[in-house]
Amino acid sequence: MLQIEQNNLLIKKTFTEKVFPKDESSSKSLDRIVTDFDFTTYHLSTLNDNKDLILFSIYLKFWNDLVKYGVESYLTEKYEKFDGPVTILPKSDVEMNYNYSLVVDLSQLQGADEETKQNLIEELSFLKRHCMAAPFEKAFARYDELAQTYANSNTYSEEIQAELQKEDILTINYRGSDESIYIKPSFDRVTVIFSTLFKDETDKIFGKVFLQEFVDARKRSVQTAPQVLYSHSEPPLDIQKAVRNTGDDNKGYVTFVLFPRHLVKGDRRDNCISHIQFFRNYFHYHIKCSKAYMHSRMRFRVKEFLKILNRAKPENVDEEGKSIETKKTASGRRFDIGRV
Amino acid sequence: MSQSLKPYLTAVRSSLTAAICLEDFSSQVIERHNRPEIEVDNSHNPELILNPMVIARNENEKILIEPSINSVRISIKIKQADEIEQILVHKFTRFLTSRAENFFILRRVPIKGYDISFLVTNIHTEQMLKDKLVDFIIEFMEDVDKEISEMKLFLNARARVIAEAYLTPFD
Amino acid sequence: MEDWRRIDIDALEPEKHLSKEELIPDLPPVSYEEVQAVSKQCRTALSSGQFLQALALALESPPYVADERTKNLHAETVFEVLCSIKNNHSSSDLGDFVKQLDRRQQDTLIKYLYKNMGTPYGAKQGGLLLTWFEKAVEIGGLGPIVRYMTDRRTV
Repeated sequence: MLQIEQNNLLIKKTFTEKVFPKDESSSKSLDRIVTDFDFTTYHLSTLNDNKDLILFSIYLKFWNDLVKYGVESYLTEKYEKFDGPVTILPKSDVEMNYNYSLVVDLSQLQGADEETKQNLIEELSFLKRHCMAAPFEKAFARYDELAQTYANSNTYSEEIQAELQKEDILTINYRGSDESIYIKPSFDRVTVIFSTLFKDETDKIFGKVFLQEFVDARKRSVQTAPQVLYSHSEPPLDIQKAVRNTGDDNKGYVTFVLFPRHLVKGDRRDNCISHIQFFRNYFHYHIKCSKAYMHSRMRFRVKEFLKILNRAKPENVDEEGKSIETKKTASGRRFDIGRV
Repeated sequence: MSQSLKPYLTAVRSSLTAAICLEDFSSQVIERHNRPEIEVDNSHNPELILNPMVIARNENEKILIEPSINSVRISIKIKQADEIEQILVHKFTRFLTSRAENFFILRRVPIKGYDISFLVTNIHTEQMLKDKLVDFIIEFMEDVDKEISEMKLFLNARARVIAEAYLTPFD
Repeated sequence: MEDWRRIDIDALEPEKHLSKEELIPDLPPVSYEEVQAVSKQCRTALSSGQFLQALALALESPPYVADERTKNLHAETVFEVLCSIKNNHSSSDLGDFVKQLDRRQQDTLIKYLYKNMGTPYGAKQGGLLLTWFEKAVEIGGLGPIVRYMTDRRTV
């Protein structure tokens, strides 16, 4: 599994069971809390008076940042097309301790065709992705504007460069203020910068190796990929104003420069958003995987070393000096060679 | 095998063979104590400690053998060319020392300036074959280097695959 | 009364244990100047191509009883001779050099090889010293190593 799935499997499964009931049991009431990474929590529950109504809520740590960048209207746009079966709850009715709630009415789905149902389930399982997409959409829209404005002007002139410098930076503090995403639109590119924190020395060094490959990958084989830059502990110039507590030695900044070819409206733009927002998770996930692999390797190596050392014990060696791993009794049973 | 590794290992082998020549020896200072003399304070009986040996292949790879009447302490400094190898060596030696129980001769804490230490006492030589113990140390030195460089290669290869797999779908 | 727990019993019974000082061999001390003179002689021999003589000379008179500075100076002299021989001959010739030394000189050679490998400049030239070491053990066997460990006449 190289890539991390962007939708939530459990959400998808839960809704599939509800929308396509197999037997009686699925019409029972439901109360399920699903925890996702990045401190995200979903809550799925049937309403007390009607088991056909499912309340679906999400909690995100960085919701307040998202609100600034119009997450609510973006989500409305995404789920409006399911009007009828899906009702978006107004702010005042959002479930306690959650940020956003939807109500899915199963009874209204009964008449719908298979494809609509599947589509709905799919979209619901992408809820988190859509939440995080809002600021990216906003930044990309700003890029469209800027590209229009400066289409026919000399973009190398100082005034325009100065103007672009002032462009607002969109900030999402998605795992607290130490691990954030900064997005800065310009007329010919959108710069996305991730700040990430390394918990221990090994992570830091593995991270460096990985990022070096990210930086080099474009030069080597994937020429069409976004440009990747990496800086350690010092934030890149573009976002220096927006970053607090700089100079932390365990912190790294990864910059992705998205070029117009990545920002073509439609599928490609959607794909780009889905993909880039998962960078931090993808990156750390693979660091952990490497560590796990190293661990299993070391375990194996230690076993080999022990075998060699055990050859030094006379009772483990036969007359020719070859090691005997296990001894058997006449009846074929094994017995452990006593440890010293 | 690279050019200078063979003389290094032969030198270690002959030095170890000479050094692991131990006998049972009760403490001269404390009654009814029998301790590895290399590990205890010997200001009172310096004659029990023999001259230590250093065998160096280069600045980053060397071994220190400290013989005494009933114990030998062997400390190895493993090659560490860069930051990655440093962390890998550190992880690996820590992994080993936390399993010192099974390794009989492994010292839990390495001597300062070295990455891993072994302590061979007369008890070990009585119960185990000396030649095979020396074989173990030699094979250990060979395999550790191999393992560390393989792990490093793996890490780089993996990083490359990961980076390409992530960056390709953008287009 | 005095705190009897703190009495150093060994001090009351001096014969019982050896002290570090007593392990120093009973030989006349060697001064820095003498070693310097030997070093000069070796260099002269080297420059006139008398490699074996230089080596024998350096190994003939090691300063067993001297301060660290003097001992280190002599170790450097030996190191210089070894490097010079290695640089002017092929590796296979080194064995002949060792063969022409007497047993005592071979023992001293091993002593200086170990000592030099323990120094930073020696570690840098590890390969060179190890080649010498290999030859010395090939010819002299493990004897010199055991004698190095046990000999109190340290270099």
